[in-house]
Amino acid sequence: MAEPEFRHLFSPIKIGTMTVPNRIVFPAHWTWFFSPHEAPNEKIMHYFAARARGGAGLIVTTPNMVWPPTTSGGYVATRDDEAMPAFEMISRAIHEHGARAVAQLVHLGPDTGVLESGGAGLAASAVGGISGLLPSILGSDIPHEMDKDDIKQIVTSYADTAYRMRETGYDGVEVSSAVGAGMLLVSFLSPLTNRRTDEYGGSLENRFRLHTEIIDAVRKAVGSDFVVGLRLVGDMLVDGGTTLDDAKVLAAKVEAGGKVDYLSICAGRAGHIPPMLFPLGCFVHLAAGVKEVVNLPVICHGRINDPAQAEQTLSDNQADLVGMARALICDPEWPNKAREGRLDEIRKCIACNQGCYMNFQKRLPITCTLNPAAGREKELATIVPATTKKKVMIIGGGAAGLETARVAALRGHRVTLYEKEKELGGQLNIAAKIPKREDFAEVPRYYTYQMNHLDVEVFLETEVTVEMVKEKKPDAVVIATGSIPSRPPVPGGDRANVVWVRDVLRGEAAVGENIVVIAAEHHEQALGVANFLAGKGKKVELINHCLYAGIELDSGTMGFMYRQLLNQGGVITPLTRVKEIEEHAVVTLNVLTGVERRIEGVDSVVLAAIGKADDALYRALKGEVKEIYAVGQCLSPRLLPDSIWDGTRVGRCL
Amino acid sequence: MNIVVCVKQVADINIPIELDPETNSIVNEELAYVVNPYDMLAVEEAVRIKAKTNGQVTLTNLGESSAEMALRKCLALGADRAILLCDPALADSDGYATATALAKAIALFPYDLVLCGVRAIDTNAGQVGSAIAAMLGIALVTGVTKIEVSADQKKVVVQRKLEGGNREVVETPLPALLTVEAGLNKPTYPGLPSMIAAQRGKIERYDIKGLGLSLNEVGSRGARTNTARLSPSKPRPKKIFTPDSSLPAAERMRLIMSGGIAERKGGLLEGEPAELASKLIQFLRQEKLLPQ
Repeated sequence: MAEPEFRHLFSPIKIGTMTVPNRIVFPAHWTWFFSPHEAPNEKIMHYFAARARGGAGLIVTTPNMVWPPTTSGGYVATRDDEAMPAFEMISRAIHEHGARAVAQLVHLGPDTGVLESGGAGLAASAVGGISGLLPSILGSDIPHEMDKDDIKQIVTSYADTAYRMRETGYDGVEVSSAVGAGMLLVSFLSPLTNRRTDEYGGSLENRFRLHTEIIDAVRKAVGSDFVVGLRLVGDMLVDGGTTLDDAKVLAAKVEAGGKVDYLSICAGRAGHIPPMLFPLGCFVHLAAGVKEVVNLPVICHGRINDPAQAEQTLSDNQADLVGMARALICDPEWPNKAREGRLDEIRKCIACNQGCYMNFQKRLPITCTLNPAAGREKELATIVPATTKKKVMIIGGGAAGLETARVAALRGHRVTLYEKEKELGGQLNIAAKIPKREDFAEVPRYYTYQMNHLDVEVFLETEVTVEMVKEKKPDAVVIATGSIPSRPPVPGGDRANVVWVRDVLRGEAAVGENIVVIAAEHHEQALGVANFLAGKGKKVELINHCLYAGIELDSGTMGFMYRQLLNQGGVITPLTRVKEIEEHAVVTLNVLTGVERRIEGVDSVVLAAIGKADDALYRALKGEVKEIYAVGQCLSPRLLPDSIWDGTRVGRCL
Repeated sequence: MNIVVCVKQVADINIPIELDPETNSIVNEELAYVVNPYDMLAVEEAVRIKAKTNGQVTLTNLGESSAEMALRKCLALGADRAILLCDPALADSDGYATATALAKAIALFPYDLVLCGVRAIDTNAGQVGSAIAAMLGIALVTGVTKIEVSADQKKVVVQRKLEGGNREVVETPLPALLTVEAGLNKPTYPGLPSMIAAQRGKIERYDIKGLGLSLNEVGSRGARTNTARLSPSKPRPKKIFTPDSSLPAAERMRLIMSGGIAERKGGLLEGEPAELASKLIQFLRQEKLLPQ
C-alpha cells in the first residue's frame, strides 16, 4: 500500500457510540429503485453494498418513511413490520464490508400529496405551490395544516421507525430536515411556509420545536448507545428562508440538547444537487460555519469529487466528514483507489446530473452517465472475462468507442482503437469549451488513462477505411464514428451565415456580433453555445419551439445555464420556429399562433442540433467482417449517457 | 549546592499522533520520544548553577526502562547522577501519583534546589512540580525565567512569567522548588566526549519498595484524576469564503457559484499595430499596471 497520503480522510472517527473507519460518507439520496409503496429490494442492497465494498466509511440509506397512515394511506413504511427483513438485508450487506449503516428518517410533508399517497400532504401551514422552476415531482398541492394530534402522531412515528431501524441492525438514524426528504420539517422551519401562531410558529425556536420533539422522542426510543444524526439546511438560499446565521443558532442548540451525535449540513432547494456550473466544494462553507460553533462531528456536502480536495477540507477543519453521493455513484471504488494512491484511476463525477438527477426527475431508477453499472450492480458491476479472446478493432475515440474499448480490454480482448483527431474524447472536448462546463474534459482524461492502463493500442490522427479493416483482419469491429452536421430543412438553411454549433465552439467558424441561436436540440448545446457567445460580448437570442429551452436538462443545470445567459444579456424566446433565414434577418413563427416576426440585423445564425449518424463505414463493412457493431451516435445520435451505455453493453457482448 | 532536576520523557509532538477512538488513548507504536524541552532548560540551568556554586546535579525520572535514553541525554549536558524510578506499579500514574514517587526519591538525598519543567509538552497538565513542593513542604515558584542564587546560597531571586508579557521578581529561601519556563536559557549542545561518557554513566534504579511506597500510593491506584476522554484539540476551521447572510439569496448564490471571486471579462484588442500599442498602454494605465 502506498503512503497514507490522505491522513485525515482515512482516519477513523467516533460518532456517538459508533466508530466510522474513515471520513467518507455516502449520504442519503432518492434512487427510485423501488416505489415508496414497496419495501426495499435487492437492487438497492447491491447498490449500497457496492459503495461499502468500495471503501466508504458511512452509508446513509433512504428512503425510510415514517408515515402515519391516517391522513394519507398507501405507504408501506419502515413502521410496517413486514418491511423489516428488507432493512435487515441492507444493514447486513453494508456491515459485511466494514462500513457503518445509518437510516435516514424521511417525511416528505407537503410534497407527499395526492400523487404519491393518495391522500394529502402534511405541513406546518396550508402553504404549497411551486417553489422552484418546475413543480415538485411529488406534486404541488396545498397541504393539510397539522393540528396538535397530527403533530403528536408524527413524533410517535419517528420514534417508532427509529426503534425499528435499531432492531434491523442499523448503527443509527438520521432525522432529515433537508429539502426533499425532510420537507415536513423544512415546512416548519421556513418562515415562508410556516404561518402558525401557536408554539410551533413565529420565532426560530418555535419553528424548530417539532425538530426538538422528534429528536427527543427518537433518542428516548433508541436509548443512548445508538447514533442519532440531524441533517439540517445550512442556507435555504431563498429570500425569507433560513440562512447560515440561523443554522449556527440551531446547531448550537442541538448540541446543547445533548441528544444528537452528528450534524449533516446541506444547502437549500436551489442548490441541493449542485450542477457542473458550481465550483467544487460549493457548500463546504455551510458546514465550516456550523463547525465554528459546535464540537459535534459535521458532515459537509457539495461537489466533492477529488481525494485531495476532500483531504484539504478535512485538514482545514471545515468539516469532520465529507458527503459524496454523486462521486460514489460515479465510482464506488473511489475510497479504495484514493487510499491506495491510484488517483488517476478514479472516475470523477462531473456533476452533469444526466444519469442521477435527471432520472430522479423522470421518476426513473437513477444511474450514472459515466458509470452505467450504478443501480445495476448485480448485473454489471462485475466484468466477466471473455471465453474467447478476440482481436477487437474500435473505430472512433469518443465516449462510446472509449467505453467499449475499456470494457473489452477488461474482459481480456486485444483492443486497438483508432481516432481521426489529435486527441481522444470526441464531442466531449467540444462540450468542455462551454463556459462552466469544462469538467467534461475529465471524461477524456479518465479514458485516456484507462486506455494506457489497460494496454489498449491507440492510433490518433488515423482515419480508417474499409481496406484498412480488411487488411487488419480483426475478429470484431466496433464502429463509433459519431455524427456529422445536418443542415436545417428551412429556406436559407444553407447560407454562409449559418454555422454549426460544434464549429463555433471549436473556434473554427467566424461569427458576427448579433447572433441568433436556433435550438433544434433540447439538451445543452443551444444554451451552451449561447452562453459561450454571450460570454464573448455578443448579442444573442436563442429561439426554440418548446415551452422552454433545455427541456431535456435537469432543472438544476437548466436553471443555472439560464441564469448565466440572462445575466449576460442573452434572450431566450420559446414556442418559436424558423420560417426563413435571410442574409441579415431571421423570420420566425410562433408555433401555436403562427404569428410571424422578423429579427433584423442578424450577422450569424448558429444551428444547435444533434447531427445525423456518421455510419458510412458501418454500412460499408456490414457483411464483410465476422462481427460488427455500431455504438453511440453512429448507431443513433443521442446523449452522452446513451453513448456510454452502448459501450458498456457492446463491450460485454464481444 | 545540591540540585535535583525532574525530567520526563515525552512523545515528540512534531510527529503527528494517532488516537484510538475505541480506547480513547494514544496509539503508542509509532511514537518517537524526546526529553521534555522545559526539562532540558532545567537541566541546563542546574548545570550552570552547579558551575557557580560547586554543587552537584541529580536527575530523577519516573518511567519505563526506555527512559534511560532521556537520562543519558541529560547526563551529557553535565548532570552528575541519574535516578530512574522504574516499576510496573508506577504505570498509569497521574500527576499526583508521579509527584508522590518523585518526592520520595528527592527526599532520599540532601537537596537545596529542585527544578522542574513548568509543564510537559505531552499532557500540558503542569501539576507535578507544584505537587512535589507541597509534598516536600518547601517553597514553590512557578513559571521561572531567570534564577540568581545568593552569595550565601541560602536563597534565590527569580523572575517569573506573568500574563501579558509581565514579569514578577520573587525572592525565596532555600530549599525551594522552581518550575521553569521557556526563555530561561538556551540549552548547549553537548560535545561528543560528553555524550560518550553519558552512555557509560550509571543509572541508579529504584522500585517502589526502595522508595518506601505502597501499591496504593502509586500508579492508577494512587492517581487522583481519571481520563474521561481524549480527543484532538479543536482547531478553528480555516477561513473559507462565506457570503453574508444579509445579502439577497440571488446574490449569495452568485457569490457561491463564483467561489467569491469577481469574474472579469477578458477583452480582445483589434486594429493596426500602432493603434494596438496605444490601446494596450491605455489599458495598462487603466489597470494601474503602468504609471499615469
